[in-house]
Amino acid sequence: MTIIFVHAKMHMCFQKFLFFCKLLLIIPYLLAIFLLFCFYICVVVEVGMVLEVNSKNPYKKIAGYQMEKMDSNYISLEKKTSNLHDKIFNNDCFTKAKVNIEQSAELPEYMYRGFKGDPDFNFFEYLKLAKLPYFIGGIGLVSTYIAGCNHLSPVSRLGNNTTVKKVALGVAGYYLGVELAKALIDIPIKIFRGIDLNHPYKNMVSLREGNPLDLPNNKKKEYHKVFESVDFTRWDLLYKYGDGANTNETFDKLAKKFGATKKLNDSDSALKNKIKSLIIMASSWKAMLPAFFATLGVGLAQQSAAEDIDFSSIFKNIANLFKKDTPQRFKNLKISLNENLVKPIVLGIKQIWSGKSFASKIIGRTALISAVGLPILANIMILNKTKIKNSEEGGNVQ
Amino acid sequence: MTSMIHDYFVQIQQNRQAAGYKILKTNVKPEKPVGKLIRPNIYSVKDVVNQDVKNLRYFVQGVQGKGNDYSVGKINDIAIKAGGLGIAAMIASGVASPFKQGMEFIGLGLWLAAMKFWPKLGIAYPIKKHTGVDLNLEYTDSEGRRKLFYQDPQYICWDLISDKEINEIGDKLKVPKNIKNRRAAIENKAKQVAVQGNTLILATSGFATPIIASLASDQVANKVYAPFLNSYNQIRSKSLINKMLMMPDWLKDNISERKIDRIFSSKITPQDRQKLLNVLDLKTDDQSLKKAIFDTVDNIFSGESVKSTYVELNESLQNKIKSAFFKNNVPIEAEQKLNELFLSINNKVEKKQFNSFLGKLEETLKNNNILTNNKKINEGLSKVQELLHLNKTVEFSSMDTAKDKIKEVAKILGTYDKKMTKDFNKYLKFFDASNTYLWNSKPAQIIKAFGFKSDELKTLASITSREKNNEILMKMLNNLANADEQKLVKVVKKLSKIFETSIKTNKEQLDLALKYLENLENNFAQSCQNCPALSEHFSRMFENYRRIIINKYLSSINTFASPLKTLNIFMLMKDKGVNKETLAKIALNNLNADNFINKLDNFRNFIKNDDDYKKFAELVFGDINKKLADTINNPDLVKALNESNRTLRTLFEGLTDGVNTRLDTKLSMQEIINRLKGTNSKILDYFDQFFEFSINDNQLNLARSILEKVNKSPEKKKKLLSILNINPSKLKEGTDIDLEIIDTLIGSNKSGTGYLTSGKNKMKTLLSVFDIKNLKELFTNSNSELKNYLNNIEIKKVKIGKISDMEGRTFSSFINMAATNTLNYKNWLKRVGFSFVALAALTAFAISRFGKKNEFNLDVYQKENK
Repeated sequence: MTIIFVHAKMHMCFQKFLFFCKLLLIIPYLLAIFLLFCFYICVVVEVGMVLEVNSKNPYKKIAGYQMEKMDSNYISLEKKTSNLHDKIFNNDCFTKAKVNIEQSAELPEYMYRGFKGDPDFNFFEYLKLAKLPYFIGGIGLVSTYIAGCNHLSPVSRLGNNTTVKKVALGVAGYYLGVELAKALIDIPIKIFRGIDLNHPYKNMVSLREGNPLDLPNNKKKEYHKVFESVDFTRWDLLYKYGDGANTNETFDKLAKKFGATKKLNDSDSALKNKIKSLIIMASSWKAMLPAFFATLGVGLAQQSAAEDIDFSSIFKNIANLFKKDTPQRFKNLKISLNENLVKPIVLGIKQIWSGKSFASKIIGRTALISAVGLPILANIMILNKTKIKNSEEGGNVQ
Repeated sequence: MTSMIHDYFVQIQQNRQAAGYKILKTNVKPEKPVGKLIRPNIYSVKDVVNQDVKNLRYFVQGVQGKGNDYSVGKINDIAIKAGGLGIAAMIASGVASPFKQGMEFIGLGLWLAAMKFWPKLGIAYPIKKHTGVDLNLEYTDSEGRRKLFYQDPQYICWDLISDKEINEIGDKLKVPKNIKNRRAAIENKAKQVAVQGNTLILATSGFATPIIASLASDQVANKVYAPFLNSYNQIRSKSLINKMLMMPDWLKDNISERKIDRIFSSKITPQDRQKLLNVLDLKTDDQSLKKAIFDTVDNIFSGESVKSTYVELNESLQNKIKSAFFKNNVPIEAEQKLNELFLSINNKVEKKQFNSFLGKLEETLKNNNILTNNKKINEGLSKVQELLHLNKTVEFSSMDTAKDKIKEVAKILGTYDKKMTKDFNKYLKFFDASNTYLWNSKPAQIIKAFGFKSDELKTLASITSREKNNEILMKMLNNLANADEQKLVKVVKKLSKIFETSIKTNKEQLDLALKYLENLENNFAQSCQNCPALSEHFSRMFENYRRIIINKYLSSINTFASPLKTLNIFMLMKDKGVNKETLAKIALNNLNADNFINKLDNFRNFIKNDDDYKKFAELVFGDINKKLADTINNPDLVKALNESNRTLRTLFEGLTDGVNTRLDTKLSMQEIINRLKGTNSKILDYFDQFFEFSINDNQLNLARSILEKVNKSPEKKKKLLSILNINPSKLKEGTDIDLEIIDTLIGSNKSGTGYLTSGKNKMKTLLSVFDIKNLKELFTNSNSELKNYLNNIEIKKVKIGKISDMEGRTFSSFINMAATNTLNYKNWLKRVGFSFVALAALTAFAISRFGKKNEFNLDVYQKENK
């Protein structure tokens, strides 16, 4: 009896989990909003640069008054705590989201300083700006197709144009595929090795004297990831300085995750090389795997089943969630998600597998098999290489 | 950089020495810098390939855990290319047209090119011209890693650049000459420009890449790739058809034969039926073919229980037969002929067929002038008869020969799979592609030839204002036909050139395809003699294929002829006193067979009696007038135009038949066919393919009614029996003749399909005896369902939908389509082109302001002390 009860409860939990997973599929909308934001930044800053609205920090006026607000908050906060050195953050979703938003909000500033040729402009800022062409390119591609629409012709009108829909879905599929590929490396590593490759920390960069930004102590904050670099991994942030015997506490915890069966004498030096090769391997796979997932994402959008994907009705159902008097709103959303998103995707995958012609069958199956197989292979290779073997537990591994 | 560190170390050592420290002797000292400046050739393919190979190696190393930040970052470059190729391959394999397949890869190439060349040519080149700072500059560091010189502003290896070059940059950036440490000042200025340039690259690439790639793709697709692919496809399709026409491998399908041998090692038994169907099953969706295969197999197995007896003609018996005629000296010729005869009947004579065998013997001997003496022959024959009766008979069932029959069927199906499913479908793809090219490229030229203004084009493109469309078109055509002689010559020349190319591209291919189909049909008909179900299926299939091809051909020809033909109507209208407005409307719009029946009302205003119709037909379907013919100045084209008019007239009159109109031209189907056959045109001969009978419902009722009526007049019953090939005297005892008739009509007997369900040929013969009028008379008193049915026959004779395909587009809708396409393209070009110009202007303006003084770069210099 109890077994049946437990089983039923587990089943319900699983159902809830599935529902939560399906809710995550709103991501495309968030992505679209983010893309529009990037678009806005580019246009506004570029126009502002050209027009030279205000000679003194005009970006604050152009790119939004909230910048000024944020800066003042920042200054008061920093002054209070006088916390002007590098700091590792807690590794939770909330902090990560906050860091991402703050980082994105600084893009206009980066662009402004870039256009002015600030001598303090650095490679980190350059790399952050490099995200813009990546996202704007997708929007641009869709726009060139939208430009072919004609309101006079019922077939080529924007709402009816299947080509535009396919291209837009393809671009969305591309971005989602890339993100999924990266997640398929990040998540298992976090679970099995306890290392979060996206662990954020705050880096304070010293600026030259006389920089017109006029920041406290002439230091500018940047948000980096602890394990982003192989050559300059921030080990110092992982130590607990001034805590005596517990200096290596983080490494001791990680060592257990890495397969150590007993407490290591100096866990830090034992782990450093392991973590370095983990970063290299994970980054290599994270660079290459998106190629396969993007192929799959775009391929999925090209299948005839993808024509049934309908975000507008899902969106309506989501809006209905906030109307309290709507009957069965959760159930309706669930049905809508299933009909308009999950089923077409499942059918699309089946269509890719069966293929229209011999060539499409071969290519589709290759993409599908590699999308399933390569992440597994990658994780097995990484975990195998980074495991601490019994022979290594005795002493240092240099 | 490294040299500075080296100097620093040396300095420290000297200081320590001076202070009296004891110098530690170590081997540690900075390595000599081996960095090198590279001025890359940005068009070099070799560099790209080399870098890609390197990047791939970085990935392989990275996967093994070896690498650094630089090598891991480089993997991204190769991943973009791999992903792009994957995407292009994925999409290209999913689309059918070769044009789209090719364009996927061309598009990818142009996208990657735009991604590479916009920063290098669109931004870095003007910056270099303007300021002297070359953003394309690269260097290899001491570890051999190739990097962009200005990419990381905090680490620029200035020591790699000579003083001379730096001074050139300084001069261009207008750094004052007599200042302290000018080199450092110029370096700072160059760094500012580099940061600005890099930012501009990042800010604009997102817009520039898709815009440039799509503009370039459009130009390449329309001007280079499509014409090239079209001519290439034509050459390929011609060679393909010629190769197919040779048919050296007809019915040489050893694979199927061996397959049957492998699966059915010994005799085929009745239990193998399902297995057989699986073996013969082609992977096809064609239900009709599946049914034909099923019926054929059914036919082979149907005789399983019937056992018969035969006499085996072994060697001794053969010799005895020979000696019955010739005693001991058999002539060589006779021996040969007789042996041939024995072989042809597989050395077996069934007991039932003794007489026919004797007949054959007699024939062989007589026809070849071996024996002329009748007496001798008769003596010999009676001896042979005795011999046959004396010999022991052997029992056999139809299963003994089943394997050979199945092998034959398998061979036919294998050939079908190869010749039709693979080869001919491949050809059809080419045929389609050239047709599509025609329809994509020519309409815009027609719009250009007429010279419509942009506001007229807008009106023509909208489908909501059909009245306004007609006004514009009528004004244009009237003007051309009556007033503007010079323009007429110009327009007609252009239009006839377009028409000529449209004929040319398709005509040769059509002829070849029809020849091929004819050839195949004959071959299949010969090899399917023993499988009636298959042969029936194939004849239907060929009909279908022929219709598809002719439909497409005529559709293009009639559409592309429509501008000239409509012009012709307007020129003719000048001379004759007719209701112009109505006629003009008809000429522009109402000849669309699709809507024909709905729009009959429009005709009624104009056509009231036979004379009116004659006038109408002369104008609308008449021959091209002399003036226009002279302007076209090409007898072949004029002939083609007249032919197109004649086909349309036939269709038109065929359609009016059976519909209750005031037109007095009720042609019967037979008349239409006769009329079509009278013309010399080869294509017109195929018109009877389009006349179909759709009889599917109530077959049993119909059969019963036919029987009922026929039983009243013995004459008609006789006729019916002869059509159905039923011989009352040969029927088995106890069989009802009436039941046999119904069975044959519906097809419930063993022979398979019935007369009422099968193809048009059988129905034609049936109707040649009982034509529709007679049948109608026959069934005046019958139930309403049947009467309805017979009434419908006349309308359904011509399948309107199928004909509307062939009729092509009417002038008005064709111009509408062409205007829409042209306008869409112009709008697209305007929008994307304007975006590009705006982007380029913004970029140029931004570059012109690079290197100027601002709050980040105050440009404060100290004067040099002299």
